[in-house]
Amino acid sequence: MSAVVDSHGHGHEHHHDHHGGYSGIMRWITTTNHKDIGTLYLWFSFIMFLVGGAMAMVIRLELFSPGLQWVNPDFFNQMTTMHGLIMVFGAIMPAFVGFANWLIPMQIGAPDMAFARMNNWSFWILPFAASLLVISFFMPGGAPGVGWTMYAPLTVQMGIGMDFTIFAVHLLGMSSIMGSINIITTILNLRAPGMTLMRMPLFCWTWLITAYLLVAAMPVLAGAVTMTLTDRHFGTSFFNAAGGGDPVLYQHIFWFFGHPEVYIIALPAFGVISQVIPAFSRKPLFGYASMVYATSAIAILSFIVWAHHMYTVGMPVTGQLFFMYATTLIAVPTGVKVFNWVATMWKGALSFETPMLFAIGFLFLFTLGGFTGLVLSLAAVDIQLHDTYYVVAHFHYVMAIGAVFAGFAGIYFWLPKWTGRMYDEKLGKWHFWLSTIFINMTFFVQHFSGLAGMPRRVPDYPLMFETWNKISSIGAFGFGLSQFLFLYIVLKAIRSGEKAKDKQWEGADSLEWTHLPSPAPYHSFETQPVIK
Amino acid sequence: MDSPQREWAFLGSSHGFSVLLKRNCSISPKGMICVFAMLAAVTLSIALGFALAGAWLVLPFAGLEVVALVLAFLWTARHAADYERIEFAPGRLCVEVAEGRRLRRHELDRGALRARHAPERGCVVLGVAGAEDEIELGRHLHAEARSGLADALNRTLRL
Repeated sequence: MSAVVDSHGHGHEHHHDHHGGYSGIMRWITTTNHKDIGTLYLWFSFIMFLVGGAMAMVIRLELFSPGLQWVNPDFFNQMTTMHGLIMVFGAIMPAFVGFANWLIPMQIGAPDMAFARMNNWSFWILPFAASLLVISFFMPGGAPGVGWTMYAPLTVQMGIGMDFTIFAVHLLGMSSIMGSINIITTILNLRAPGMTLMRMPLFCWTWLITAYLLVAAMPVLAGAVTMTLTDRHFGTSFFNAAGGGDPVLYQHIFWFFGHPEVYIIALPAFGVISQVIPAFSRKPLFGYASMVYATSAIAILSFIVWAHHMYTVGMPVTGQLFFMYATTLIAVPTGVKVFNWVATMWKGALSFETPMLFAIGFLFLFTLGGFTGLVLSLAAVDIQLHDTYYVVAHFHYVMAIGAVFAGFAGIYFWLPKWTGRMYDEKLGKWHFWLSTIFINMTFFVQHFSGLAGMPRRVPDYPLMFETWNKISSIGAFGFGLSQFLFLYIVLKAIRSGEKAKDKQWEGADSLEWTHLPSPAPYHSFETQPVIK
Repeated sequence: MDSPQREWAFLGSSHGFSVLLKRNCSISPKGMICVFAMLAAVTLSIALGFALAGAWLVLPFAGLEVVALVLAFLWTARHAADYERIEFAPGRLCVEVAEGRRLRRHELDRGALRARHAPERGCVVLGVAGAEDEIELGRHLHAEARSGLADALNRTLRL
């Protein structure tokens, strides 16, 4: 007789040692448990969402009426810059890393992440980086007002706050790379027997591909900000035309990172939606293999479209044509995904609990954002619309609404598994409808002001744009306030929610629902599941 | 000792009863090397492209990242092929323990051997009562399975 007994060899020693021997704040500082770290990421991202959101409120308050009302133009620029950086690097990315930490080990049948201690470091770098970003406001000259793209040569003229931002971006990049290495190693090495790559839940696939994107794109960003730093302080002229450098080179470098970054945010959101829609349609995901290939295709294409952000910089017509066609090509795999989500719902036994409402909201609104992206991919049109509010509307539909709605869908979907408690369904639905109405009030009208020619990143505007801006600002205040309802729903669920079932959602079929109780135990899968 | 010899030692068993305890690794070392090669090639090619365009400071960061990837994958691979094999033979018990690059093989007289679960050491201890020489087994198992292994070994040793 021979037997193969499988184990990961890690993590088993601690299963009676519930929280690593520490309690209180030290438990959270020293934890190497993927669930604790996932929770830390999610709370951190929500706090940053509120901080970045507060900056959005300042922006919308100033834009409520024409003329300068509340802040000076320099501070306004600082607000738009920090709002972008904090929302992208501090809120959305960490939120999906939080999902990855919570879910990937449970979905592949692993006891934890491959590098548990590195996982702890990846998280604890973030609060320091975020502090640097916020502290930059109190430096001489204030925070940088260069926009989240940090274009040269404006960056050379900024005060010391720019250096704080550069350091913060380095730290955030380090955290992302450590997280990516961890995710790749975990998914490839720690899958339970029988959990082949093509049996993994789509969320794991989207994160595996996202981690590849991060590994490929992050050194480019690190190089870009380092060259900015050496141009500022060490006499180099990478981006300084006076010294023989080229400011346009910065834009190429930044957008070579920046466009994949859009998919670094979008792909995990696709993963969440691909878990939620089948569960509430009570059907398996339509076209699983095509979803995997479409995700890979999007990731590959994302590296050859960067210059569509730069049509107005000046480039040969052949260059414009190449980037235009490559960009429109992304609509094909994205279309495959949208088709598959709709086909999953087709003839399904649909029910419309809060996660499904947010998923359907995502489907409509992300598709709308994708469609305006197609409009902007056309060089001739983009030259008209570049740096107008049409672009602001487009990327907020994709990144703000797309990613945030997917995040809400995921939190409502997995909250019962994470906490063992159910949220208040009625309040969840209120949260959905308030968010949907107000977010569309905020951004849909920006298409009109953009088409009429209102430029972005300005604190003042002609009277003709007033109505659209008033509607947009009221929508933004409403959306911001609605998120306190979300906070109340989550806290209420944690404190006094009804006990959740082990398999709260009838149609959910990934391992965390079929093999683990609710709440999931602190150490899950100490005995490895075998997937048949 | 390399993998083929380890594999041969297991397949060559003709004693009728053996237990192989090993870690679960869902990707082969060859697969892991392919993944690493692909990641490193893409990252370094991008950095090289930018270096040729004048932005050479991307290259050191790509290099650092590739070093981090190498370290991470080596750390994972170091113990990926670890195993413990226990073979029962008439009158003897053979234990083979592969740990990293080390391979230890023990041949023991079954007569006085006893196994006990030692939770404080995170293993099953195999040895003769009163003797100092002990072999630690079951590192790849969780506590419950270790206890089961100790019981199964003792039952079989008494046969």
